[in-house]
Amino acid sequence: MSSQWIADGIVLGCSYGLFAASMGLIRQVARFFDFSLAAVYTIAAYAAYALRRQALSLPIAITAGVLLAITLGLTAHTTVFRPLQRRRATAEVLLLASLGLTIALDNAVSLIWGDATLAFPRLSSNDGLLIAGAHLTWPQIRIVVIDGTVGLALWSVIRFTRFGMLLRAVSSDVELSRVRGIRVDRIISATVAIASAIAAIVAMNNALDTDLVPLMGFNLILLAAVSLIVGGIGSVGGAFCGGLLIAMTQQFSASLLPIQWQETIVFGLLIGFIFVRPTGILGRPLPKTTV
Amino acid sequence: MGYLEHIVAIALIYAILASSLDLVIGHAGMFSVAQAAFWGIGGYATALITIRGGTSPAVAAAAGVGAAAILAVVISIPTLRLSDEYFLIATFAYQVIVTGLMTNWTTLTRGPLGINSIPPPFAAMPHQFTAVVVLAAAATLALTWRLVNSPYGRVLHALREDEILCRALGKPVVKLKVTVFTLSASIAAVAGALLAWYVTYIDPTNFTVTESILIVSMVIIGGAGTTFGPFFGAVLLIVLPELMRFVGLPAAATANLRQILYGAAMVAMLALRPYGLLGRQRPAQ
Repeated sequence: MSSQWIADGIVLGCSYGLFAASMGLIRQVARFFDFSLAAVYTIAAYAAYALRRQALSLPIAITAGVLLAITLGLTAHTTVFRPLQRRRATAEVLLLASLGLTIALDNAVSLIWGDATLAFPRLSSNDGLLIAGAHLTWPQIRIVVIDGTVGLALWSVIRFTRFGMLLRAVSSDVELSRVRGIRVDRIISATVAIASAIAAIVAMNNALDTDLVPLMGFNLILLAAVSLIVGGIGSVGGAFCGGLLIAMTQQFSASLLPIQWQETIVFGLLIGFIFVRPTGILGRPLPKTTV
Repeated sequence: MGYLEHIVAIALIYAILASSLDLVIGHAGMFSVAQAAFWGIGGYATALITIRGGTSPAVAAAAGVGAAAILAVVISIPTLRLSDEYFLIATFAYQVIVTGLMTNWTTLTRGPLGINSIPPPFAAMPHQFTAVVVLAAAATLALTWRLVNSPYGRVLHALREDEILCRALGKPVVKLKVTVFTLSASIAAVAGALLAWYVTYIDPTNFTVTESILIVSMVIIGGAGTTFGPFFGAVLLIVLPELMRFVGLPAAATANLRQILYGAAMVAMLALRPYGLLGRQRPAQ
Protein backbone atom coordinates (compact mmCIF):
# COMPACT_ATOMS: atom_id res chain seq x y z
CA MET A 1 0.00 0.00 0.00
CA SER A 2 2.77 2.41 0.88
CA SER A 3 4.48 1.95 -2.49
CA GLN A 4 1.31 3.37 -4.08
CA TRP A 5 1.46 6.65 -2.20
CA ILE A 6 5.17 6.97 -2.87
CA ALA A 7 4.51 6.50 -6.60
CA ASP A 8 1.67 9.03 -6.54
CA GLY A 9 3.96 11.40 -4.64
CA ILE A 10 6.63 11.13 -7.33
CA VAL A 11 4.06 11.98 -10.03
CA LEU A 12 2.81 15.01 -8.09
CA GLY A 13 6.33 16.00 -7.12
CA CYS A 14 7.43 16.14 -10.76
CA SER A 15 4.72 18.62 -11.71
CA TYR A 16 5.27 20.73 -8.56
CA GLY A 17 9.01 20.62 -9.19
CA LEU A 18 8.89 21.65 -12.84
CA PHE A 19 6.35 24.42 -12.18
CA ALA A 20 8.49 25.60 -9.27
CA ALA A 21 11.55 25.59 -11.54
CA SER A 22 9.79 27.86 -14.03
CA MET A 23 8.76 30.22 -11.23
CA GLY A 24 12.33 30.10 -9.93
CA LEU A 25 13.70 31.10 -13.35
CA ILE A 26 11.68 34.32 -13.31
CA ARG A 27 12.54 34.94 -9.67
CA GLN A 28 16.24 34.67 -10.54
CA VAL A 29 16.38 37.19 -13.37
CA ALA A 30 13.36 39.46 -12.72
CA ARG A 31 13.71 39.18 -8.92
CA PHE A 32 10.13 38.66 -7.83
CA PHE A 33 7.73 35.76 -7.31
CA ASP A 34 5.58 35.91 -10.43
CA PHE A 35 2.17 34.44 -9.58
CA SER A 36 0.79 35.38 -13.00
CA LEU A 37 2.38 32.12 -14.23
CA ALA A 38 -0.73 30.55 -12.67
CA ALA A 39 -2.96 32.37 -15.17
CA VAL A 40 -0.59 31.47 -18.01
CA TYR A 41 -0.91 27.83 -16.93
CA THR A 42 -4.71 27.88 -16.75
CA ILE A 43 -5.25 29.77 -19.99
CA ALA A 44 -2.86 27.51 -21.92
CA ALA A 45 -4.77 24.43 -20.77
CA TYR A 46 -8.19 25.92 -21.55
CA ALA A 47 -7.04 27.16 -24.97
CA ALA A 48 -5.75 23.70 -25.89
CA TYR A 49 -9.02 22.22 -24.63
CA ALA A 50 -11.09 24.64 -26.73
CA LEU A 51 -9.07 23.90 -29.87
CA ARG A 52 -9.30 20.17 -29.26
CA ARG A 53 -13.08 20.55 -29.01
CA GLN A 54 -12.95 22.18 -32.45
CA ALA A 55 -11.65 18.79 -33.63
CA LEU A 56 -8.08 19.93 -34.13
CA SER A 57 -5.49 17.24 -33.54
CA LEU A 58 -3.98 17.10 -30.06
CA PRO A 59 -0.40 18.06 -31.07
CA ILE A 60 -1.69 21.18 -32.84
CA ALA A 61 -3.88 22.11 -29.85
CA ILE A 62 -0.98 21.66 -27.46
CA THR A 63 1.43 23.64 -29.64
CA ALA A 64 -1.09 26.46 -29.90
CA GLY A 65 -1.54 26.41 -26.12
CA VAL A 66 2.21 26.66 -25.56
CA LEU A 67 2.54 29.52 -28.05
CA LEU A 68 -0.35 31.36 -26.41
CA ALA A 69 1.32 30.90 -23.02
CA ILE A 70 4.55 32.44 -24.31
CA THR A 71 2.65 35.39 -25.82
CA LEU A 72 0.70 35.92 -22.63
CA GLY A 73 3.77 35.76 -20.40
CA LEU A 74 5.70 38.19 -22.58
CA THR A 75 2.75 40.58 -22.81
CA ALA A 76 2.31 40.63 -19.04
CA HIS A 77 5.99 41.35 -18.57
CA THR A 78 6.28 44.08 -21.17
CA THR A 79 3.03 45.87 -20.29
CA VAL A 80 2.88 45.47 -16.50
CA PHE A 81 6.02 44.22 -14.82
CA ARG A 82 8.75 45.94 -16.84
CA PRO A 83 7.23 49.45 -16.45
CA LEU A 84 6.89 48.76 -12.73
CA GLN A 85 10.52 47.70 -12.51
CA ARG A 86 11.63 50.78 -14.44
CA ARG A 87 10.05 52.80 -11.66
CA ARG A 88 11.97 50.74 -9.11
CA ALA A 89 8.89 49.09 -7.64
CA THR A 90 9.79 46.69 -4.84
CA ALA A 91 9.52 42.91 -5.10
CA GLU A 92 6.38 42.97 -2.91
CA VAL A 93 4.63 45.42 -5.24
CA LEU A 94 5.49 43.24 -8.25
CA LEU A 95 4.22 40.16 -6.41
CA LEU A 96 0.95 41.93 -5.60
CA ALA A 97 0.55 43.09 -9.19
CA SER A 98 1.06 39.51 -10.39
CA LEU A 99 -1.56 38.30 -7.89
CA GLY A 100 -4.02 40.95 -9.10
CA LEU A 101 -3.41 39.96 -12.71
CA THR A 102 -3.96 36.28 -11.87
CA ILE A 103 -7.26 36.99 -10.10
CA ALA A 104 -8.51 39.02 -13.07
CA LEU A 105 -7.44 36.44 -15.68
CA ASP A 106 -8.67 33.39 -13.72
CA ASN A 107 -12.07 35.02 -13.42
CA ALA A 108 -12.07 35.78 -17.14
CA VAL A 109 -11.52 32.03 -17.71
CA SER A 110 -14.39 31.24 -15.36
CA LEU A 111 -16.57 33.79 -17.16
CA ILE A 112 -15.87 32.24 -20.57
CA TRP A 113 -15.86 28.52 -19.74
CA GLY A 114 -17.77 28.40 -16.45
CA ASP A 115 -16.71 26.87 -13.15
CA ALA A 116 -17.69 23.32 -14.05
CA THR A 117 -14.99 20.68 -14.36
CA LEU A 118 -13.99 20.04 -17.98
CA ALA A 119 -11.94 17.15 -19.31
CA PHE A 120 -10.02 16.34 -22.49
CA PRO A 121 -11.36 13.39 -24.42
CA ARG A 122 -9.40 10.45 -23.02
CA LEU A 123 -6.33 9.55 -25.03
CA SER A 124 -5.91 6.03 -23.84
CA SER A 125 -7.53 3.74 -21.37
CA ASN A 126 -6.55 4.22 -17.79
CA ASP A 127 -4.76 0.93 -17.49
CA GLY A 128 -1.08 1.49 -17.05
CA LEU A 129 1.86 -0.24 -15.52
CA LEU A 130 2.37 -2.04 -12.27
CA ILE A 131 5.74 -0.90 -10.90
CA ALA A 132 6.96 -2.37 -7.62
CA GLY A 133 3.43 -2.93 -6.42
CA ALA A 134 2.23 0.56 -7.38
CA HIS A 135 -0.23 1.12 -10.18
CA LEU A 136 0.53 4.07 -12.45
CA THR A 137 -1.76 5.13 -15.30
CA TRP A 138 -0.30 6.11 -18.67
CA PRO A 139 -1.02 9.84 -18.15
CA GLN A 140 0.82 9.63 -14.82
CA ILE A 141 3.81 7.95 -16.44
CA ARG A 142 3.77 10.62 -19.13
CA ILE A 143 3.91 13.32 -16.41
CA VAL A 144 6.99 11.77 -14.82
CA VAL A 145 8.78 11.21 -18.16
CA ILE A 146 7.98 14.54 -19.81
CA ASP A 147 8.28 16.78 -16.73
CA GLY A 148 11.48 15.01 -15.73
CA THR A 149 12.97 15.32 -19.22
CA VAL A 150 12.06 18.99 -19.52
CA GLY A 151 13.57 19.61 -16.08
CA LEU A 152 16.78 17.89 -17.14
CA ALA A 153 16.86 19.85 -20.40
CA LEU A 154 16.37 23.10 -18.49
CA TRP A 155 19.20 22.21 -16.15
CA SER A 156 21.53 21.49 -19.09
CA VAL A 157 20.60 24.74 -20.83
CA ILE A 158 21.37 26.74 -17.70
CA ARG A 159 24.56 24.77 -17.02
CA PHE A 160 26.10 24.39 -20.45
CA THR A 161 24.87 26.94 -22.99
CA ARG A 162 25.84 30.54 -23.64
CA PHE A 163 22.28 31.62 -22.83
CA GLY A 164 22.52 29.79 -19.53
CA MET A 165 25.70 31.66 -18.71
CA LEU A 166 24.05 35.02 -19.49
CA LEU A 167 21.07 34.02 -17.36
CA ARG A 168 23.34 33.19 -14.45
CA ALA A 169 25.20 36.47 -14.92
CA VAL A 170 21.96 38.51 -14.78
CA SER A 171 20.83 36.44 -11.84
CA SER A 172 24.00 37.17 -9.92
CA ASP A 173 24.31 40.91 -10.60
CA VAL A 174 22.11 43.00 -12.91
CA GLU A 175 24.23 46.16 -12.79
CA LEU A 176 27.47 44.34 -13.50
CA SER A 177 25.79 42.47 -16.37
CA ARG A 178 24.71 45.77 -17.90
CA VAL A 179 28.22 47.12 -17.54
CA ARG A 180 29.55 44.07 -19.37
CA GLY A 181 27.16 44.77 -22.26
CA ILE A 182 24.62 42.05 -21.59
CA ARG A 183 21.17 43.06 -22.81
CA VAL A 184 19.41 42.39 -19.55
CA ASP A 185 15.86 43.06 -20.83
CA ARG A 186 16.38 40.56 -23.61
CA ILE A 187 17.61 37.90 -21.20
CA ILE A 188 14.59 38.55 -18.98
CA SER A 189 12.21 38.27 -21.95
CA ALA A 190 13.81 35.02 -23.09
CA THR A 191 13.58 33.64 -19.55
CA VAL A 192 9.92 34.63 -19.28
CA ALA A 193 9.21 32.93 -22.61
CA ILE A 194 10.91 29.72 -21.45
CA ALA A 195 9.16 29.80 -18.06
CA SER A 196 5.76 30.37 -19.70
CA ALA A 197 6.32 27.52 -22.15
CA ILE A 198 7.28 25.22 -19.28
CA ALA A 199 4.20 26.29 -17.30
CA ALA A 200 2.10 25.38 -20.36
CA ILE A 201 3.76 21.97 -20.67
CA VAL A 202 3.06 21.20 -17.01
CA ALA A 203 -0.52 22.37 -17.57
CA MET A 204 -1.06 20.11 -20.63
CA ASN A 205 0.28 17.07 -18.80
CA ASN A 206 -1.88 17.65 -15.74
CA ALA A 207 -4.97 18.53 -17.77
CA LEU A 208 -4.62 15.31 -19.78
CA ASP A 209 -4.24 13.33 -16.54
CA THR A 210 -7.07 14.87 -14.53
CA ASP A 211 -9.29 17.74 -15.66
CA LEU A 212 -9.65 21.51 -15.99
CA VAL A 213 -11.06 24.01 -13.48
CA PRO A 214 -10.48 27.80 -13.49
CA LEU A 215 -8.48 27.63 -10.24
CA MET A 216 -6.17 24.83 -11.46
CA GLY A 217 -3.25 27.19 -11.97
CA PHE A 218 -3.71 29.14 -8.75
CA ASN A 219 -3.96 26.00 -6.62
CA LEU A 220 -0.86 24.53 -8.22
CA ILE A 221 1.25 27.69 -8.06
CA LEU A 222 0.72 27.94 -4.30
CA LEU A 223 2.25 24.47 -3.95
CA ALA A 224 4.95 25.33 -6.51
CA ALA A 225 5.86 28.49 -4.58
CA VAL A 226 6.13 26.49 -1.37
CA SER A 227 8.24 23.88 -3.20
CA LEU A 228 10.50 26.59 -4.56
CA ILE A 229 11.18 28.16 -1.16
CA VAL A 230 11.52 24.83 0.61
CA GLY A 231 13.80 23.39 -2.09
CA GLY A 232 15.91 26.48 -2.55
CA ILE A 233 15.73 29.22 -5.17
CA GLY A 234 18.38 29.27 -7.83
CA SER A 235 18.59 25.74 -9.12
CA VAL A 236 16.40 23.34 -11.04
CA GLY A 237 17.51 20.55 -8.71
CA GLY A 238 16.38 22.54 -5.69
CA ALA A 239 12.94 23.11 -7.21
CA PHE A 240 12.50 19.38 -7.90
CA CYS A 241 13.77 18.49 -4.41
CA GLY A 242 11.21 20.87 -2.91
CA GLY A 243 8.46 19.58 -5.19
CA LEU A 244 9.12 15.98 -4.19
CA LEU A 245 9.33 16.86 -0.49
CA ILE A 246 6.03 18.76 -0.60
CA ALA A 247 4.29 16.02 -2.58
CA MET A 248 5.57 13.33 -0.22
CA THR A 249 4.51 15.39 2.80
CA GLN A 250 1.02 15.67 1.29
CA GLN A 251 0.82 11.97 0.53
CA PHE A 252 2.15 10.99 3.94
CA SER A 253 -0.16 13.35 5.82
CA ALA A 254 -3.10 12.05 3.77
CA SER A 255 -2.33 8.57 5.05
CA LEU A 256 -2.62 9.81 8.65
CA LEU A 257 -5.14 12.67 8.60
CA PRO A 258 -8.22 13.52 6.53
CA ILE A 259 -7.14 14.77 3.12
CA GLN A 260 -8.40 18.35 3.60
CA TRP A 261 -5.63 19.05 6.15
CA GLN A 262 -2.94 18.81 3.41
CA GLU A 263 -2.92 22.52 2.64
CA THR A 264 -2.62 23.53 6.28
CA ILE A 265 0.26 21.08 6.83
CA VAL A 266 2.11 22.17 3.68
CA PHE A 267 1.90 25.83 4.65
CA GLY A 268 2.94 24.97 8.19
CA LEU A 269 6.03 23.32 6.68
CA LEU A 270 6.66 26.51 4.67
CA ILE A 271 6.55 28.62 7.84
CA GLY A 272 9.00 26.23 9.49
CA PHE A 273 11.41 26.49 6.56
CA ILE A 274 11.14 30.29 6.34
CA PHE A 275 12.24 30.58 9.96
CA VAL A 276 14.78 27.79 10.22
CA ARG A 277 16.28 27.57 6.75
CA PRO A 278 15.00 30.39 4.52
CA THR A 279 17.44 29.47 1.74
CA GLY A 280 15.81 26.06 1.36
CA ILE A 281 17.34 22.60 1.16
CA LEU A 282 19.72 23.23 -1.75
CA GLY A 283 19.82 27.02 -1.59
CA ARG A 284 22.98 29.03 -1.37
CA PRO A 285 23.39 31.46 1.54
CA LEU A 286 21.66 34.79 0.99
CA PRO A 287 23.97 37.59 -0.11
CA LYS A 288 24.77 40.10 2.59
CA THR A 289 22.75 43.28 2.40
CA THR A 290 24.55 46.06 0.57
CA VAL A 291 23.80 49.65 1.43
CA MET B 1 -34.09 51.66 2.39
CA GLY B 2 -32.97 48.29 3.74
CA TYR B 3 -30.77 47.57 0.74
CA LEU B 4 -29.03 50.92 0.93
CA GLU B 5 -28.37 50.50 4.65
CA HIS B 6 -26.96 47.05 4.00
CA ILE B 7 -24.50 48.38 1.40
CA VAL B 8 -23.45 51.18 3.78
CA ALA B 9 -22.82 48.72 6.61
CA ILE B 10 -20.81 46.29 4.46
CA ALA B 11 -18.82 49.08 2.79
CA LEU B 12 -17.94 50.57 6.18
CA ILE B 13 -16.86 47.21 7.63
CA TYR B 14 -14.46 46.89 4.69
CA ALA B 15 -13.43 50.51 5.21
CA ILE B 16 -12.44 49.66 8.81
CA LEU B 17 -10.41 46.71 7.51
CA ALA B 18 -8.71 48.78 4.82
CA SER B 19 -7.89 51.60 7.25
CA SER B 20 -6.41 49.17 9.75
CA LEU B 21 -4.37 47.41 7.06
CA ASP B 22 -3.10 50.77 5.83
CA LEU B 23 -1.33 51.26 9.17
CA VAL B 24 0.81 48.24 8.25
CA ILE B 25 1.13 48.69 4.47
CA GLY B 26 0.97 52.44 3.97
CA HIS B 27 2.57 53.76 7.13
CA ALA B 28 4.98 51.03 8.20
CA GLY B 29 5.73 49.75 4.67
CA MET B 30 5.11 46.06 5.46
CA PHE B 31 2.96 44.16 2.96
CA SER B 32 0.66 41.78 4.81
CA VAL B 33 -1.94 39.56 3.13
CA ALA B 34 -3.33 38.16 6.38
CA GLN B 35 -5.88 40.84 7.28
CA ALA B 36 -8.84 38.57 6.54
CA ALA B 37 -7.37 35.99 8.93
CA PHE B 38 -7.51 38.45 11.85
CA TRP B 39 -10.93 39.60 10.68
CA GLY B 40 -12.07 35.97 10.80
CA ILE B 41 -10.52 35.32 14.19
CA GLY B 42 -12.46 38.30 15.57
CA GLY B 43 -15.68 37.06 14.00
CA TYR B 44 -15.29 33.41 14.96
CA ALA B 45 -14.16 34.16 18.53
CA THR B 46 -17.10 36.52 19.07
CA ALA B 47 -19.58 33.99 17.72
CA LEU B 48 -18.16 30.91 19.44
CA ILE B 49 -17.57 32.47 22.86
CA THR B 50 -21.09 33.91 22.89
CA ILE B 51 -22.77 30.69 21.78
CA ARG B 52 -20.62 28.06 23.51
CA GLY B 53 -19.39 30.07 26.49
CA GLY B 54 -22.68 31.81 27.18
CA THR B 55 -20.99 35.14 27.88
CA SER B 56 -22.41 38.44 26.76
CA PRO B 57 -21.58 39.40 23.15
CA ALA B 58 -19.54 42.43 24.21
CA VAL B 59 -17.28 40.31 26.45
CA ALA B 60 -16.94 37.78 23.64
CA ALA B 61 -15.94 40.50 21.18
CA ALA B 62 -13.33 41.80 23.64
CA ALA B 63 -11.97 38.26 23.98
CA GLY B 64 -11.89 37.98 20.18
CA VAL B 65 -9.88 41.17 19.87
CA GLY B 66 -7.56 39.89 22.60
CA ALA B 67 -7.10 36.58 20.77
CA ALA B 68 -6.28 38.34 17.50
CA ALA B 69 -3.83 40.65 19.30
CA ILE B 70 -2.04 37.79 21.05
CA LEU B 71 -1.78 35.83 17.80
CA ALA B 72 -0.48 38.93 16.01
CA VAL B 73 2.27 39.39 18.61
CA VAL B 74 3.22 35.71 18.56
CA ILE B 75 3.45 35.42 14.78
CA SER B 76 4.92 38.83 14.11
CA ILE B 77 8.00 38.60 16.33
CA PRO B 78 9.76 35.88 14.33
CA THR B 79 8.22 37.01 11.02
CA LEU B 80 9.56 40.54 11.31
CA ARG B 81 13.12 39.27 11.04
CA LEU B 82 12.37 38.36 7.43
CA SER B 83 13.01 40.52 4.40
CA ASP B 84 9.97 42.35 3.02
CA GLU B 85 9.25 39.82 0.30
CA TYR B 86 9.40 36.87 2.67
CA PHE B 87 7.27 38.76 5.18
CA LEU B 88 4.52 38.91 2.55
CA ILE B 89 4.87 35.20 1.81
CA ALA B 90 4.81 34.31 5.52
CA THR B 91 1.60 36.31 6.04
CA PHE B 92 0.16 34.52 3.00
CA ALA B 93 0.99 31.21 4.69
CA TYR B 94 -0.62 32.31 7.98
CA GLN B 95 -3.73 33.29 6.06
CA VAL B 96 -3.95 29.88 4.36
CA ILE B 97 -3.39 28.09 7.69
CA VAL B 98 -6.08 30.09 9.50
CA THR B 99 -8.60 29.50 6.68
CA GLY B 100 -7.66 25.81 6.81
CA LEU B 101 -8.37 25.67 10.55
CA MET B 102 -11.72 27.42 10.11
CA THR B 103 -12.69 24.99 7.37
CA ASN B 104 -11.37 21.73 8.81
CA TRP B 105 -11.47 22.01 12.60
CA THR B 106 -15.13 21.07 12.37
CA THR B 107 -15.62 20.17 16.04
CA LEU B 108 -14.88 23.77 16.95
CA THR B 109 -16.03 25.78 13.92
CA ARG B 110 -18.57 23.49 12.21
CA GLY B 111 -16.34 23.85 9.14
CA PRO B 112 -17.93 24.89 5.83
CA LEU B 113 -21.39 24.90 7.45
CA GLY B 114 -20.44 28.07 9.25
CA ILE B 115 -21.99 29.43 12.42
CA ASN B 116 -25.51 30.78 12.31
CA SER B 117 -27.84 32.60 14.73
CA ILE B 118 -25.05 34.63 16.27
CA PRO B 119 -26.69 36.68 19.03
CA PRO B 120 -26.18 40.44 18.66
CA PRO B 121 -25.14 42.58 21.65
CA PHE B 122 -28.57 44.20 21.83
CA ALA B 123 -31.90 43.56 20.19
CA ALA B 124 -32.01 46.23 17.56
CA MET B 125 -33.40 47.13 14.20
CA PRO B 126 -31.07 46.82 11.18
CA HIS B 127 -30.70 50.55 10.84
CA GLN B 128 -29.45 50.78 14.41
CA PHE B 129 -26.73 48.29 13.47
CA THR B 130 -25.80 50.46 10.56
CA ALA B 131 -25.46 53.33 13.02
CA VAL B 132 -23.13 51.21 15.19
CA VAL B 133 -20.99 50.41 12.15
CA VAL B 134 -20.90 54.08 11.18
CA LEU B 135 -19.69 54.96 14.69
CA ALA B 136 -17.05 52.23 14.62
CA ALA B 137 -15.81 53.38 11.21
CA ALA B 138 -15.62 56.99 12.40
CA ALA B 139 -13.72 55.88 15.50
CA THR B 140 -11.27 53.88 13.37
CA LEU B 141 -10.67 56.83 11.10
CA ALA B 142 -10.15 59.17 14.08
CA LEU B 143 -7.76 56.69 15.73
CA THR B 144 -5.62 56.15 12.63
CA TRP B 145 -5.59 59.88 11.88
CA ARG B 146 -4.47 60.68 15.42
CA LEU B 147 -1.90 57.89 15.38
CA VAL B 148 -0.18 58.68 12.11
CA ASN B 149 0.06 62.36 13.00
CA SER B 150 1.67 61.61 16.36
CA PRO B 151 5.39 61.17 17.12
CA TYR B 152 4.73 57.43 16.88
CA GLY B 153 3.41 57.89 13.34
CA ARG B 154 6.42 59.95 12.34
CA VAL B 155 8.80 57.21 13.48
CA LEU B 156 6.69 54.70 11.53
CA HIS B 157 7.13 56.80 8.40
CA ALA B 158 10.86 57.02 9.01
CA LEU B 159 10.89 53.23 9.33
CA ARG B 160 9.04 52.87 6.04
CA GLU B 161 11.47 55.13 4.21
CA ASP B 162 14.73 53.84 5.66
CA GLU B 163 14.91 51.02 8.17
CA ILE B 164 18.68 51.05 8.46
CA LEU B 165 18.71 54.76 9.24
CA CYS B 166 16.01 54.16 11.85
CA ARG B 167 18.13 51.52 13.54
CA ALA B 168 21.15 53.81 13.43
CA LEU B 169 19.13 56.50 15.21
CA GLY B 170 18.39 54.00 17.97
CA LYS B 171 14.69 53.64 17.24
CA PRO B 172 13.15 50.41 18.54
CA VAL B 173 12.38 49.04 15.07
CA VAL B 174 11.12 45.59 16.08
CA LYS B 175 8.92 47.02 18.85
CA LEU B 176 7.40 49.50 16.41
CA LYS B 177 6.67 46.82 13.84
CA VAL B 178 5.13 44.46 16.40
CA THR B 179 2.92 47.17 17.92
CA VAL B 180 1.63 48.47 14.60
CA PHE B 181 0.96 44.94 13.29
CA THR B 182 -0.86 44.02 16.52
CA LEU B 183 -2.92 47.20 16.54
CA SER B 184 -3.92 46.61 12.94
CA ALA B 185 -4.92 43.00 13.72
CA SER B 186 -6.98 44.12 16.73
CA ILE B 187 -8.95 46.63 14.67
CA ALA B 188 -9.57 43.93 12.06
CA ALA B 189 -10.91 41.68 14.84
CA VAL B 190 -13.37 44.43 15.83
CA ALA B 191 -14.55 44.45 12.22
CA GLY B 192 -14.98 40.67 12.54
CA ALA B 193 -17.25 41.07 15.57
CA LEU B 194 -19.27 43.71 13.70
CA LEU B 195 -19.70 41.38 10.72
CA ALA B 196 -20.75 38.47 12.95
CA TRP B 197 -23.36 40.63 14.72
CA TYR B 198 -24.59 42.29 11.60
CA VAL B 199 -24.95 39.26 9.32
CA THR B 200 -25.53 36.80 12.24
CA TYR B 201 -23.93 34.09 10.08
CA ILE B 202 -20.27 33.52 9.22
CA ASP B 203 -18.47 30.77 7.36
CA PRO B 204 -14.84 30.26 6.25
CA THR B 205 -15.43 31.69 2.76
CA ASN B 206 -15.84 35.15 4.34
CA PHE B 207 -12.19 35.10 5.41
CA THR B 208 -10.11 33.59 2.60
CA VAL B 209 -6.88 34.78 1.03
CA THR B 210 -8.93 36.30 -1.81
CA GLU B 211 -10.58 38.57 0.76
CA SER B 212 -7.16 39.53 2.09
CA ILE B 213 -6.01 40.44 -1.40
CA LEU B 214 -9.22 42.42 -1.90
CA ILE B 215 -8.47 44.43 1.26
CA VAL B 216 -4.92 45.06 0.00
CA SER B 217 -6.29 46.27 -3.32
CA MET B 218 -8.63 48.67 -1.48
CA VAL B 219 -5.61 50.15 0.28
CA ILE B 220 -3.62 50.47 -2.94
CA ILE B 221 -6.47 51.83 -5.04
CA GLY B 222 -7.39 54.43 -2.45
CA GLY B 223 -3.80 55.38 -1.79
CA ALA B 224 -1.53 53.67 0.72
CA GLY B 225 -0.46 55.87 3.61
CA THR B 226 -3.08 58.56 3.05
CA THR B 227 -5.49 57.69 5.94
CA PHE B 228 -8.62 58.63 3.98
CA GLY B 229 -7.55 56.90 0.76
CA PRO B 230 -8.03 53.27 1.87
CA PHE B 231 -11.37 54.21 3.44
CA PHE B 232 -12.44 55.70 0.13
CA GLY B 233 -10.99 52.74 -1.80
CA ALA B 234 -13.04 50.29 0.26
CA VAL B 235 -16.29 52.19 -0.25
CA LEU B 236 -15.56 52.48 -3.97
CA LEU B 237 -14.78 48.77 -4.45
CA ILE B 238 -17.93 47.71 -2.60
CA VAL B 239 -20.31 50.22 -4.15
CA LEU B 240 -19.12 50.06 -7.79
CA PRO B 241 -19.90 46.35 -8.33
CA GLU B 242 -23.34 46.91 -6.81
CA LEU B 243 -24.13 49.15 -9.78
CA MET B 244 -23.68 46.09 -12.01
CA ARG B 245 -26.78 44.58 -10.42
CA PHE B 246 -28.89 47.24 -12.04
CA VAL B 247 -27.54 46.46 -15.50
CA GLY B 248 -29.26 43.09 -15.26
CA LEU B 249 -26.33 40.70 -15.67
CA PRO B 250 -26.70 37.10 -14.51
CA ALA B 251 -25.52 36.55 -10.93
CA ALA B 252 -22.64 34.21 -11.85
CA ALA B 253 -21.25 36.69 -14.37
CA THR B 254 -21.52 39.48 -11.78
CA ALA B 255 -19.37 37.54 -9.31
CA ASN B 256 -16.68 37.03 -11.96
CA LEU B 257 -16.84 40.61 -13.21
CA ARG B 258 -16.48 41.85 -9.65
CA GLN B 259 -13.26 39.86 -9.18
CA ILE B 260 -11.97 40.98 -12.59
CA LEU B 261 -12.64 44.58 -11.56
CA TYR B 262 -10.77 44.15 -8.26
CA GLY B 263 -7.76 42.49 -9.85
CA ALA B 264 -7.52 44.73 -12.90
CA ALA B 265 -8.06 47.91 -10.88
CA MET B 266 -5.22 46.99 -8.54
CA VAL B 267 -2.83 46.19 -11.40
CA ALA B 268 -3.78 49.37 -13.28
CA MET B 269 -3.34 51.45 -10.14
CA LEU B 270 0.06 49.95 -9.32
CA ALA B 271 1.21 50.50 -12.88
CA LEU B 272 -0.27 53.93 -13.60
CA ARG B 273 -0.81 55.70 -10.28
CA PRO B 274 1.06 53.82 -7.54
CA TYR B 275 0.28 56.50 -4.95
CA GLY B 276 -3.46 55.78 -5.28
CA LEU B 277 -6.51 57.85 -6.01
CA LEU B 278 -6.17 60.16 -3.01
CA GLY B 279 -2.39 60.06 -2.76
CA ARG B 280 0.04 62.66 -3.98
CA GLN B 281 3.19 61.68 -5.79
CA ARG B 282 6.11 61.61 -3.41
CA PRO B 283 9.25 63.41 -4.56
CA ALA B 284 11.69 61.10 -6.31
CA GLN B 285 14.36 59.79 -4.01
